Amino acid sequence: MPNITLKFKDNVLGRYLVDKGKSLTIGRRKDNDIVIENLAVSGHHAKIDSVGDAFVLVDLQSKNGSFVNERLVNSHWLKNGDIVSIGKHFLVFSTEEDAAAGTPAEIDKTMVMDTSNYRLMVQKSAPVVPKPLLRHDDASGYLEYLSGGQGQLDLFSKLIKIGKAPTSEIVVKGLLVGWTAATISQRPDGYYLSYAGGICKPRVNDQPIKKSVMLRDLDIIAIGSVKLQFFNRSAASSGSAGAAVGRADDASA
Amino acid sequence: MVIVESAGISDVGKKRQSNEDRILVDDARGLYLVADGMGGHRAGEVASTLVVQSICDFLAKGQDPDNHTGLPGNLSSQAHRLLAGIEWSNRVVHQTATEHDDYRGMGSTVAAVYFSEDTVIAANVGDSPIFLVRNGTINLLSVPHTLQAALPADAQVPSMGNILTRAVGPKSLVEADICELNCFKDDQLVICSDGLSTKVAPREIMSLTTAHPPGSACRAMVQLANERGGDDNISAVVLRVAGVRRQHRSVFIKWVYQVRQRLAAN
Repeated sequence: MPNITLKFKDNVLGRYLVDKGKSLTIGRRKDNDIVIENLAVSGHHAKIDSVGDAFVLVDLQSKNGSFVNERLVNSHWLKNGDIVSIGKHFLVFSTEEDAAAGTPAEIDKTMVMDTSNYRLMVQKSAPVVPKPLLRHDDASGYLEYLSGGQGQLDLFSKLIKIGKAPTSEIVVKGLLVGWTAATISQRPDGYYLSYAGGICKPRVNDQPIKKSVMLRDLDIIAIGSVKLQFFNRSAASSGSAGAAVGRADDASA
Repeated sequence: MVIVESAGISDVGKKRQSNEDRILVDDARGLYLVADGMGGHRAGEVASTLVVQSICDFLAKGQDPDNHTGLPGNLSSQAHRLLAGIEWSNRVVHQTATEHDDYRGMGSTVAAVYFSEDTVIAANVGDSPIFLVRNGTINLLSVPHTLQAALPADAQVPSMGNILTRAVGPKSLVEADICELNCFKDDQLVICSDGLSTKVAPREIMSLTTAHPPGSACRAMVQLANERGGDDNISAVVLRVAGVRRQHRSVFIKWVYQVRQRLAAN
């Protein structure tokens, strides 16, 4: 009969039979079929359901996730020899008969989660993870001269200076234009134009900017004699980076 | 020259026995840090303490020669020093972790705000957020390095809120996210640990910091997080820009300001 062996390091802590038509629950609380007394394990962490002749492991929205063969899974059809890791414990799924039953050992309650190991596992499951929206080396925004210059300027830099200073990325002449008149900063949620100095204030869509404003696709920036249009290649994605702040609180700890 | 009013509190919360958060409020240097340590036994405290100390020490070691031409990202030299400070702290924590068995795998988040002549620099590693409150809006200046944030919003894989994709210490190298922006009078910045940001919504942070001066805003936020469970250590640093004195390069404008100051003095 298929069975599950619960292991911690090299010690076998218990062996559980998986019956057809029944399900097994795994978690920290006493009402589970397989109890793992460790704080890294959620109260009700995962379950194993029987479906036809096969068995499927389902993660019950646990705080620290369930891993099968070092990959993070939501649900997984169990095969012979699969190793499920939950916290620092391992559950080996076997469909073969095994007479040698190990003796359960003491559970170390003052255990610390092995974070380095854990991170390695997370990294292995990471290929699905897309890169953050804004990187040093990709520019989703660019400026195009409408007047006072020619061409297009990719906004690679984290901070772009506009003003009279010859070191500015965009040099603007004029008596009332500041040495650094305005800056464009790259922030996690997009590009922001800020007033920096001088009597002549930058204008975005004909509105004078006293402080700062987030640039939107097709905005027109005017400073002194220079007019620029802002384009954002990833206009749809702006703002979504900030949405990930509020995280769901998990009560399993 | 940016003039800043500041306040910071770090509270153990209601569930934890020890405080693994560390904060730094250094008005003289214009440096403000929150570090949230992790790792068993006392390693979390050790990691966050090391991070705060090493960044502070690094930035105290005098200014580099002004050779910030040709540096990537076009950031100010202060921003590069802050990035170098974070890299340095990573080296310190990583080395300590590999030398002591008790500290193996320890790490810490860091959220740093550093003021240059007239800009504010925000850099972070991990999930401790930095908020900017300006003109009745609140925005995140930091990038959350969590698995949750890296996944697309619709992919609700088991709640992976507490898994960091980046931290100071676990690896030999770390890359911080950084942004630099002009700051204005009455801007407010809030740096906190996730013990606060998971309990108090950004909108509530905004209303508390706009309604109170930094000191009482800190106390009110920590109290609110404790009332809602206080599951983790709670740290908050609130900064208010009281004024920005800009350097005027143009001779004419300098002269205008000088005349104006003299008139005001009379």
